[in-house]
Amino acid sequence: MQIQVNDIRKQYGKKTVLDGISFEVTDGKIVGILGVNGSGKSTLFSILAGVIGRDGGSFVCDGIDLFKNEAARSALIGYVPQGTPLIEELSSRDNLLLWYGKAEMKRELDSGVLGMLGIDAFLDKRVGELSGGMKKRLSIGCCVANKPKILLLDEPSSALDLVCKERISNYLRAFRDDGGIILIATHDVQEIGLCDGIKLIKNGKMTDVGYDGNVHRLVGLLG
Amino acid sequence: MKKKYLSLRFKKAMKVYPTVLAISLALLIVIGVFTFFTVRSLYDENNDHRVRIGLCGSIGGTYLNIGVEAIKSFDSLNLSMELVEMTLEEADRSLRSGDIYGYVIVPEGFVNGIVNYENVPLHYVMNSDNDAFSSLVIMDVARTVASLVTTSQYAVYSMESLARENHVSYVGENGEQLNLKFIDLILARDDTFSNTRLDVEENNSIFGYYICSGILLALLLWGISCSALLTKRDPSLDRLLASKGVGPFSQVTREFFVFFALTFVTFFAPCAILGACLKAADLPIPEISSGPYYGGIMFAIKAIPALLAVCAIHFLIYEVFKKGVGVILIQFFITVIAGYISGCFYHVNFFPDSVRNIASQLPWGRSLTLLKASVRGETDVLSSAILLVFAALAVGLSVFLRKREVSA
Repeated sequence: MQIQVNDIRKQYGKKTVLDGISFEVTDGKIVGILGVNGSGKSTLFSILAGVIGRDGGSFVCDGIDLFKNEAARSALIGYVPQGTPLIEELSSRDNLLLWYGKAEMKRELDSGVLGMLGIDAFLDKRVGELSGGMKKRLSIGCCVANKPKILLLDEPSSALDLVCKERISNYLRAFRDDGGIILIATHDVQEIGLCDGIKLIKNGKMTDVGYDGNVHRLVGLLG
Repeated sequence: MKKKYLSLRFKKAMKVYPTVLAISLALLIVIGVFTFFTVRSLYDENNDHRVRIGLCGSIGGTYLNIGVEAIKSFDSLNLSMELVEMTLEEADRSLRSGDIYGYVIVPEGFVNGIVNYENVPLHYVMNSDNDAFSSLVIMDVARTVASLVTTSQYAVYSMESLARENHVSYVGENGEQLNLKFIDLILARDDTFSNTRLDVEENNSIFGYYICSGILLALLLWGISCSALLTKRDPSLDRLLASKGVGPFSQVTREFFVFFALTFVTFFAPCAILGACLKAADLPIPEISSGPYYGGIMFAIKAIPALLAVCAIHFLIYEVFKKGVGVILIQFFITVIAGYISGCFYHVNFFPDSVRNIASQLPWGRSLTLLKASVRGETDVLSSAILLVFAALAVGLSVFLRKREVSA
């Protein structure tokens, strides 16, 4: 499996946010997308997930144009937006049932992604009572309900404790090892460490900067 | 997915419903108590709370004193005023301190003017800070005072003329009593004024009007009560749903449907029960007493466009202001302003024509018009259509805002 992002362009008024973003990723890879706040990382992910429109460009997976084929996009992509896409007044179980069938949820809790994320420990708790880390794990659990092949994660580990980060990292490694593709927008050093490649968005353009474990070099590039 | 989202929204509505209901009941109790005392004071025929009116100026003349005494003795007329003789300075001080609602200055030569059939007008002074209702009442009261004093002077003068014509120059200490009895006769006391209360609305009784304005106020307050249902904490769910094909239109229409359904159920049951109870109690509310026992149900159904419009505006407010204390404060201010200009606190007839005209075209004023028609058992097609347009506009604007938020 391979994804090709070609010449994505987006303007807000006169401001060009994305100016011809193009890259390719093959299966079994985690690619980190870096950039300062407001550089356009979330906009790129929103476009790829089909949440917002674009001014130009294409997104192709194994010959399927995902911008034109909504069903294929919905089936192939799991999008984890910033924040917690949950209904606070309901329990974790209720929130999961929006995305999973009952039997499917049980299966995933027993031996699937929900079990791996440790969601069974707070299944009947109201979301409003959960910690930030629990909410994020639950969010990821909700977002990957359709067993996607491509994961778009928009700053998944921001403000989480180390144990929670480690749980999420384990899940991402497992997803990659199963042949999935992960695009992750992050500022987190631990997540950067998971990546097989790093791309930098600056002034609407994307460059491939690689990663050799030297965080200071990345910080220099961002500035 | 869209169906699942709808059922999840219903589930959320059920979870927060006890909270919503508790807030609503608390708000309604406050409003109910306020309304109860307002209506009771309006309708209590034995209300012994009298409007104190100052009387000052040239009141030393015998005739005028007798006239004033005559007014004071007219208890059977159930005049809701008390005349208090005072100096001009005292009257001015009392008015400013709120002890009296206004005062009447009797000008010099007033009595002579009556005797000589000259028009020497009384002068009324009232506090401009009084609310519209009080000012109107005072104006009427002052006119009544002038009329009664003037008429009684004529009566006293006639009595004296009669005595003179019969060569009676002195009637002794009972003279004033004689005068008063004569005044009683010529003013015919109970027959002089009929204590009829005119309904301020052409087609609704005053009770019918206040029932409708109370319901509108409850609907406006419902926006505050439903903060637990409508407040949004995080827009990321909207984005995630959009990525799965549940776009802003589908989200907003489903959320609004749940909100409206909850509103209707909450509104319908009390209307049905209250309608039947009021009918059974046979209260003097013509709209209800002349209707069937199921009048409350019919009313609730006919009022649906008003519910839709008011709910859609609540929904829009939450869509604009999103979350926190801010949105509740905005809801509160809109409730107070909309309730005020629509006539929930004071009858719209107290407002200038321009305000009334504007208020009647706003969704809340139009809702009141529809509610008033519905309580009479009528179908107001025009108001219903206008309110449906308002509702569609508000929902459409909410969709637009949701789309903008998802795209942000």
